[in-house]
Amino acid sequence: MPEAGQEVIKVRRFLKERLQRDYTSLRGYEAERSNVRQLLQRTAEMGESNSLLLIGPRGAGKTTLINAVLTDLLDNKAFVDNTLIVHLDGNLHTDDRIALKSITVQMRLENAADGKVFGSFAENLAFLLQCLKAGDKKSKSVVFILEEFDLFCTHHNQTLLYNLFDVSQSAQAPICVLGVTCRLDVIELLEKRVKSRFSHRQVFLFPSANQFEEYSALFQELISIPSSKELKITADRLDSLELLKSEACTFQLNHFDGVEYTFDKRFVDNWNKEISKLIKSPAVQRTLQTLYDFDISQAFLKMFIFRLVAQMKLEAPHITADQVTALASQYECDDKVDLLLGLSVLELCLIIAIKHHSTIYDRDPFNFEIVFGRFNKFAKVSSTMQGIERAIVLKAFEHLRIVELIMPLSSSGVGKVQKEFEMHKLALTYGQIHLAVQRYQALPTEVAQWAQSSLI
Amino acid sequence: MEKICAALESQFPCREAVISSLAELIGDSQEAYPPAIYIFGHSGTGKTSLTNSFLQQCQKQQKVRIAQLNAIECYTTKIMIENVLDALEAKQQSADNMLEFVEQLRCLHGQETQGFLIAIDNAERLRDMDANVLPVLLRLQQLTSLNLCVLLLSQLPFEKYYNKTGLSEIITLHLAQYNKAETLRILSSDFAQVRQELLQQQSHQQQRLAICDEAMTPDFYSNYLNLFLSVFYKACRDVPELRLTARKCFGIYLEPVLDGSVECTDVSRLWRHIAGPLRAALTQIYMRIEKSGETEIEDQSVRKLAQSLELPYYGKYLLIAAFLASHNSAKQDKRLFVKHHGKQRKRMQTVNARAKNAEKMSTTLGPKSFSIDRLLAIFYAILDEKVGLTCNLLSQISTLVHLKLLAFVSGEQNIMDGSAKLQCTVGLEFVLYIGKVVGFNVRQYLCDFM
Repeated sequence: MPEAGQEVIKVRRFLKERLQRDYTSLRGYEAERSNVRQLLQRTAEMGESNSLLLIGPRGAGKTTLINAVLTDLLDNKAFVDNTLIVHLDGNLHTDDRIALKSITVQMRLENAADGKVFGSFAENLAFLLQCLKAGDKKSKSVVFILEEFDLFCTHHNQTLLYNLFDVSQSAQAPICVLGVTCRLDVIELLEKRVKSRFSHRQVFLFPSANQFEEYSALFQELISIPSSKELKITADRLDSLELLKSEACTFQLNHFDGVEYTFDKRFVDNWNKEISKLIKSPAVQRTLQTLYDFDISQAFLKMFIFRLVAQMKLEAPHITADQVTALASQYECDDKVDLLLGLSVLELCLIIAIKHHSTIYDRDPFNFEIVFGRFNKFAKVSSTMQGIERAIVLKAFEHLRIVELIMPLSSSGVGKVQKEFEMHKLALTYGQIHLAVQRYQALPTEVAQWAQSSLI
Repeated sequence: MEKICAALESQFPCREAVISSLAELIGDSQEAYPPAIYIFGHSGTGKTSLTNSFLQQCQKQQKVRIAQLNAIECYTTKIMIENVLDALEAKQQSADNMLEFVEQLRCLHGQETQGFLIAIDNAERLRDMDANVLPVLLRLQQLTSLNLCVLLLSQLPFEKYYNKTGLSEIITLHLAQYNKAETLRILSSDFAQVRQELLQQQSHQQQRLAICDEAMTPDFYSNYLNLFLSVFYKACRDVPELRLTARKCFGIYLEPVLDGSVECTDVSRLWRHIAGPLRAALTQIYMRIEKSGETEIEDQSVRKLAQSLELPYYGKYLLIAAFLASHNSAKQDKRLFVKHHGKQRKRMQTVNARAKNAEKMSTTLGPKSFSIDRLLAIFYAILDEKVGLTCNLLSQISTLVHLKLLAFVSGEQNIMDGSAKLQCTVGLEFVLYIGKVVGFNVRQYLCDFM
């Protein structure tokens, strides 16, 4: 039946897009959301100046929260007319000169600032803010959003931050500074004079740790298809996004839009029924619990579901419990053990020799000669590893170094010391080595025995 | 998507799982790409070639623009972003920093192209570049709002990339090393080509051609490969390397069959014939020594090297003296080289200290530096005959330095005032052979072996 096939493709495309490109729907964090919204609203309407830091781990939804708040506020005509939004990212605006240029562009003041020479950073910024006042009685308010706030703290003298906070405190022009960061100690990074100008308003976003029910409900929500009515509601909410005309913030350009999709009603019902059945199965519940124990952030879960959805095919139109567990088991495995399993027997022997050296000398550093001596003792009595030349063992040792299973002690001393004598340290735990020895296919028995005890 | 898979699966045997998961993730340009994919595995597992052909297929069949670059070549941020922009045909003016890079990519909106794929090989080098490169690449989709995916290829696990504040989520794919059966399958897929080449080589000799034509069966070749892997597989699992060496040694394996001295079914005699050359070939794996016209494989062991080194008699003694000076402490010189050095008192402390450091002998910890005066003193002590200190003798030292058997540690400029420090760069094994040639027992004079 070709229609059903089309439907599956469509569902896959829909789910993928919603998982990747839905930048504005925030789940939870009601209190924090209204807090930030009120703050921005006051800046827009009353002309209050403010500063705020949004702190939370990666993938907790800090940027999404700001986007959601902006989407809410864009409905409000007064807000749209009255505010300018300036987006800065610590990874892109790596110094204050670039940042200032970008601010000028985003405030659409290139013409005004053109050809003027400014003595200092503060003068320049003051001029920009002054420009906003001109013409109008009431000055336009500016919202500065600083992503990766901690990186701005490394700029020379923290000039940008100092000036922004200074303006926000001295009521020259209504501006609101929103810092977004994942460093908890970010306040400590600020210089004293900068710190004293900051309002010390901080909003913490922490995904809640003990709410597994919500997590599995979220899983269900992300993977099921909403009815067309629900799609319509979310689409209406996003209409206002078009009013956001900023060069630096372009998420509205390819934002997920549910209206483009219409599904066959029977198919949707069927799909949602399958999904709720899937979630109730004990295997999936157990898998979700392990995932939850790994990482509670929504970004992690979304990525997991994305990979799950990507596996949908014409021949296999439904997500099965087996797929869920198989994919989750990929997250459980240790990359380093996988790499160890790809080594040759010789290289694994060297790892074992290093392990013996480390256990005997309490993780002392080692060089090639030490490892080679130990390996040679084993090779002499073994039947499989005999007759391997030193040059090949050295090559194997270098391979271990390339894949960073062993690391040189100092990176600076290269060249002075011959490579046979350069000291290294082991970047593996004994457990990983043990696991690799156990799992290695067709490992000679004597090597496995040697791994157990250093006595030959 | 199915077409891509089908095109690649014949080209890359034993990689069906990875191809299909890549196709699921970025196979269809009309669907949303994930922001970034990390592909890792040992060298020679087909990361680069698989990704490159996958992207090329994507470009051929869909409206996708691709950029393939190597982080070794693009060693600074500027070179890298210029290359990416060039490949994606997004370049209007030069981009100096990440901000301009992102802004120029944003200009690509509204064009017909549905997707953008950027593959970066040797991604571990990105860690040495500016700190913002990796975070920006991982979030490039969000920053540019394009349907864009960054593929990073590397030999390292992703945990090696984490910085202080962590990175955004990435999808990792592992290309497992081929196991023995898979290696055999890949190597034997060469059969037709090897046969073709052989027949061409023998075309001028009718008799040999006939034998060759008859003997070259898939069974015969896979028999050979089994023998070959039994020697090589424990030391090397790198498929391209194995393939190269297997081809090289096959000529030797086939030679007695072509001569008519051994039947092609007599596996045990063929094994006796090939075992030696295979073992010799094992010593020079990875080295890729190409000698035109010569089929004999040379033994590259230390012993051979030491024997082939033609030094004058005094030169050899100087080398030995340098080795002794490098690996004995100056305190022991009196005891080692002076006849009446007085009685040594064994103290408990020294005995204990030596027992504890059995593994930390100076021969394993590396050479120490010594002055030219000390070198000459030891040289005269170990040499029985009397030689004058002539310029000929001193020039031997500089010869040894030129041959890289000795190396300057410091004071290369002021050799004359005696403050120059040298060290010996050859290993114990090598010196033992040299000692054997001139009839001198080196071990006897090493503190490590007393």
